[in-house]
Amino acid sequence: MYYLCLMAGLAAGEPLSDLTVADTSELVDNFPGEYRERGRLIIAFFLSRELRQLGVKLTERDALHSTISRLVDPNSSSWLSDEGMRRMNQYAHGGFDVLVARFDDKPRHIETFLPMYAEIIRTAQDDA
Amino acid sequence: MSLEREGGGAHPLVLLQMPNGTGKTTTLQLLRAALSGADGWATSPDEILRYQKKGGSETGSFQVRLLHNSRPLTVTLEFDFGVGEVRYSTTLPSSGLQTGFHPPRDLRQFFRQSFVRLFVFDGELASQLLDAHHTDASRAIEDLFQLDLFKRIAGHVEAYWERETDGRTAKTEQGMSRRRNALDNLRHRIEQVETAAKGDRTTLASLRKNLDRKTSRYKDDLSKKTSINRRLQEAEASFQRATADVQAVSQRTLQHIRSPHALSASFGAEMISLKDHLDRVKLPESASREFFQELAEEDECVCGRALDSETRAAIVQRASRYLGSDDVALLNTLKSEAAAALGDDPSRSSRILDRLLTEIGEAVETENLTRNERELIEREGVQDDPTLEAAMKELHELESEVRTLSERVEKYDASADSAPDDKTLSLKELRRRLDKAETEYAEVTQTLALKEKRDVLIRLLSKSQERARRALGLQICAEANKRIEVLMPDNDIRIRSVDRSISLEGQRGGSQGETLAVAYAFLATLFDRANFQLPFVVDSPAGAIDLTIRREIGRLVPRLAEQFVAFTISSERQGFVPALEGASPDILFLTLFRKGNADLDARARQELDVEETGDGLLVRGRGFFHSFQLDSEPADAVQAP
Repeated sequence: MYYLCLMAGLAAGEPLSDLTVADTSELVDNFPGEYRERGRLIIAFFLSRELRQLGVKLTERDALHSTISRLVDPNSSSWLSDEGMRRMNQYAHGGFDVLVARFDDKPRHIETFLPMYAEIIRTAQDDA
Repeated sequence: MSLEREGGGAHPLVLLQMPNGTGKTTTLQLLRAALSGADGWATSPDEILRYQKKGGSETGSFQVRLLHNSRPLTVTLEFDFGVGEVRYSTTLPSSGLQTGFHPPRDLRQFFRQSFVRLFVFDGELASQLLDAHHTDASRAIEDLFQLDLFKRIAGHVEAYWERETDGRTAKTEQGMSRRRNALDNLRHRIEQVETAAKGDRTTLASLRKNLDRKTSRYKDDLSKKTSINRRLQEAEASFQRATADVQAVSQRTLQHIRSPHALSASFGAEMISLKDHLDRVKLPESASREFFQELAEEDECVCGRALDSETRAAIVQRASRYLGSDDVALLNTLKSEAAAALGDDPSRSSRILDRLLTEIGEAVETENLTRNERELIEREGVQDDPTLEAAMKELHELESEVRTLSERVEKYDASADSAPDDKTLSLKELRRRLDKAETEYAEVTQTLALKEKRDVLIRLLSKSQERARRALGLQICAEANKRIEVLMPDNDIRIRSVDRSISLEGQRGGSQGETLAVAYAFLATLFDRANFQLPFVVDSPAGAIDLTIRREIGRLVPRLAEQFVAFTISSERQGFVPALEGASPDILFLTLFRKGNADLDARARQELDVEETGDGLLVRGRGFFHSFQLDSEPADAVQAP
């Protein structure tokens, strides 16, 4: 669920910025189970989106260096710093709102949910 | 004019004889202003212009030099009569010349207008001390004993309360009551929903059990229909296979989208773009921060050159521009995993998702077809059997009931809901709101508890101040009465109490002389209690007092303060000065008067110690002081400092 919300938030490119640290502390702080092996890919995509959100050009070495240094922490279980984790949780929270807004009713079957979810992600990506 | 003794120190007793109209009152006012700072001024230009000498210059100055703990303290007032301004400067050995009024910290409590009036004193204050409309007496006690400390503590208590409760929305009983109600309502609502959830869950379980039992019986009965039995079994098997296919392809899809680049070709392209740009700007660097930090500790650089402290500092400072080795490793892993997952074709994964979604669509269609086919056969079997038809209808109704109740039970388990308290069924949401309400209630309870403590403390401080003031008033009153008894043994005037002002026993007020005597007694008692020895400067110390009391006051004055400076006129000498001389032989006699009387001027110039200015003469000496007899001058006498 967290991952699906996160991807929706990253696709829309709109983290819920008014979320406080206390609000995000209930969300996850690592990559559980099957998401562990994809964790670093998720981090790479998150970094790419956050750099874009912050307006950091990928050619600006110093800005890239300082932003990435601020967001990652190789020694944490999520590979993200506290700030990085807080930002990621903000994206996930923003994604939850995106999904709630797009689904008229609670999806009851995975086979009906997945095509709609893919469509929402791609539409959000196009709108972002 | 110097009141300094030969060899240093200040004269303890100074009598400055100045005829009426030569500026006694003005000098006294300026002295008060110099010791009170801006606090001592009605700083309107008109007020300031009063001090300009008629026809005098546009500027003027007045300077007071004091000894504070044997160290000089100078306060200077610079007048600009052109714009009606007065500027202060203060000179202390510790801080030198400073613009403004900056007395030493330990003198600040005394160098305030209200207190300065007590030791730079005139007959007006004496009558105000006994006037019920003025609070000078009680203020004198409060100032001297620093009773405002209680108010200052109360101010700190208030400030602490404000800090602690800053941002708290409810600080009142009404606020607490509102939150208490909100808390009670939420608890009640949770009880309601829990009871309903328990009932609905029991009903749902029972309905499902019933549904299972009836479905089983219905299927048994249906299977007995030989005309459709075989076809129904085949249709059911097809439907089950189609359902399994739907689940399988859905699970594969779910597994597939766990990689971000599977969801959109552009996600993959972005990740590859990030990797390529990091490569291009050489991030992470091949050398880590630790490499440079360690290098700075070496004697030589890797190129063989010796490292000096400047170079080392530059290396350490620039090391911060490099990532740590752990960061380097993580970034390299991110890049290599992105490259491995995306390969040369970042959109491949997205295309696979498209295919999987198509497969889901096809599997769902097959599932629907097989379901329809099975239902058609089923209807064929029941259409000529009313019992089975009724059973099917009952099953459909039961299924609908189970579905409705299941949806309701799901709402009890929902993790979040935005509906209001009385509408939501989400127990998690309600418990979260209860938590919040409990926190808020605890906060307001704590706030109110703190408020009660604040109120008690402030009340205690206020009562303590009042009790201290009353107790001190009683003590001062008793001691002052002893002095009055000595001053006026044949007069039964006594102080009854020192409240806002001094109240006299049995009568509302005394004569001018009695008032002055009572004021002296009161001030003498106060100054006796002070930790500081302040000078006592008095205008006309014995002006309106009869001879007997003058003598007593003359004897009392040397004991009033360590230094006593009196502005007198010649008619006051009788009775007062001899008694003063009897009590203390060490007196500085000064006579200051305006030039103009040729005989007097000539006589003054024959004295040993005389100073002459453009319009005045100052004579030091007892003989001239006692023989001086000029008590009136024209009304336009000296006004300027």
